[in-house]
Amino acid sequence: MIKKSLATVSLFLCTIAHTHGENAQRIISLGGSITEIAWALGAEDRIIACDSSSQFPAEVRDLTQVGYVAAVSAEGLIAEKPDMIIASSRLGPPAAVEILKNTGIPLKIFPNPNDAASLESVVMGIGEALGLEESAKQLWSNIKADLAMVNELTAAKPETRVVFLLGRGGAPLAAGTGTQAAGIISLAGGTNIFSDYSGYKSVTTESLISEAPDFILIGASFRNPGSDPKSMLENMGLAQVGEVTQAKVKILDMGKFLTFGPRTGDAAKELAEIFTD
Amino acid sequence: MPRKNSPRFLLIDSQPPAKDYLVTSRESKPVPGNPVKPRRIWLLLGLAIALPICAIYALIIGPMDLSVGQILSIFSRGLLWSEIEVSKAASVVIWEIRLPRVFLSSLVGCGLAMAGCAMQGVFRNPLADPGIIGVSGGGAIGAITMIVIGGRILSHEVLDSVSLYLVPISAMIGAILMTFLIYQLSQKRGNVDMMTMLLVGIAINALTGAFIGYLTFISDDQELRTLTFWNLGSLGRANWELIIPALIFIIPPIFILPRYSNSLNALLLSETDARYLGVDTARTKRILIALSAALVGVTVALCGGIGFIALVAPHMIRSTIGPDHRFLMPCSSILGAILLTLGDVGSRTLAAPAELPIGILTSLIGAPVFLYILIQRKKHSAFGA
Repeated sequence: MIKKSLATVSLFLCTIAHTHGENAQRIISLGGSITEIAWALGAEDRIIACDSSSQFPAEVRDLTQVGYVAAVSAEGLIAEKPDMIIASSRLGPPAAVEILKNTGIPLKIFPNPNDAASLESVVMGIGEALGLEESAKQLWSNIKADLAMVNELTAAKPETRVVFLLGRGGAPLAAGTGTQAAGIISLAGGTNIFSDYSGYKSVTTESLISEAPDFILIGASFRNPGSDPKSMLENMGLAQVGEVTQAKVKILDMGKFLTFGPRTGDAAKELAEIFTD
Repeated sequence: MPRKNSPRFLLIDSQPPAKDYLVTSRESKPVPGNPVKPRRIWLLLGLAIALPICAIYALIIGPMDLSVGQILSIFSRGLLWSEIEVSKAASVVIWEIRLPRVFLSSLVGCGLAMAGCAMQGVFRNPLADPGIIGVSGGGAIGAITMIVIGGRILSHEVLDSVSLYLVPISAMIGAILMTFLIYQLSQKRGNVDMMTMLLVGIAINALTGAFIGYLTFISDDQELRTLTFWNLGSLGRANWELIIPALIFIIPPIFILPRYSNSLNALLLSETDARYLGVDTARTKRILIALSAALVGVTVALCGGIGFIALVAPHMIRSTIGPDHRFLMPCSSILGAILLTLGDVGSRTLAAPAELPIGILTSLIGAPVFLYILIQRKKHSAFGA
């Protein structure tokens, strides 16, 4: 009991000593969006390690890898002697997060951005955490300008029905609400055809056909860039969908399109151009 | 519990069963008039000394570089109120990561190996690994059912406070029911049919796959990642809160099961022989199955499906000192604790700073041992042994 309360007091003192993280020089960044934003804000020399979902810019792949953001090892992170950890809300497992909070190392957790509003708050939040508020404002105004342009481009257009599919070989998963895929589709002026569930779910060929999408987007990562759209669709067992519907099939680089961050303005513009074709 | 008509007096002078239900080694051949060979006592002593050494080793080794001196000062600060300066991070690593993990891995390793001994004794088959024959699967089904149903009917605050106990209990029930089912199904003319036992295991593991699959279907991708937990296991959840249910549910069976070692020895001969020796076989088997399955269920709820410890530890001991359960059980359980503690050191350090699921390591070592036992038995049966 006494030990516990003492621990709490010392923990409290530690937090006071560390509250100001602007000067953090050994930052661990966990989560693709988080790393990309921090990097773009000019913190590249201060980031010492990142997780496996951080893939852009290419230089981050040379940093120390601490595993996947949702499955980190607490001791592994502590051993890197960080003076700040910035992470997306995917950070886990819960036991490790609990321990990290007890170490006194400043731990900033940001939502995983999936629309313009959340992107703004994360950009600003990271800027504040790293003492880079000015560059954060600059970065956000750039992204905002791009998004406004896309908005103009797509304002007068009829509805474009879009589905985003994930999965190679085996049953494909389709993006529902709350996903980054749904976010970028809506930023680019499209309508996600599966809006009655959240997250990724496997869907039947039949429901795909009956929803009659105008565009089928297939996710590919830089490790697995994918071949031509048609054969990818066939590999998913969806050849009929391509034949029956008039849908155009496109491959989407998930790193660029689904990682909300500095490139989101460009990505939305590019996707909007695909939709207008 | 030992009863008045316990067969102890009969077995104290009798030899460990020579019948080849279990892999026996040269050493276990009967030596007249020497029922407890010193070799066994030495092995037990050696293991009992090795366990704390391994535990200390596991405390010292980790991705974070901590010298023995630093660790000692962390302990002296935590326990003796000394004023030595220690870094906050280092003391969290010791108190909240390594120490609970060492405790949990020892408890779970011990429980799994003990459960393995008892199950292999009841099934009279050294291949009766709870992971393979489906007992762990039953535990996982119980735990998952509780997690899903609990998540539907209980509020989050209530769930957080009781799930530490409800999930293990539900896993225990799942494992126990499953084990009785497996046992009933694999009975063939009073014997356990190995083929049926393994096939039932396949069926149950498929069912477990369906449960895990359903959980995958309803969970978001953050939770998805934690699903490797059920397949590969992890000691990463270890904290002091988790140690309490571990102590409550693992310690009692560990102390009760060895009381049945004489009955298990008698069962090795055959069920009829055991009955002639005064063992109430039906009752004994029920108790053994319930306790060992409960142990497996709890470990599944706490650490997921950590495979093969229950197979490898008893096998190693059996091939050293033979199948006498009076020594097999305590030796195996200590060895199980040692194996899992060292395995966890590997899981924490091999892929550092990331963490390797512990089940990858145990299966990597365990699966070949399983095949080896299978081949050995095939040879034996070829010669009609």
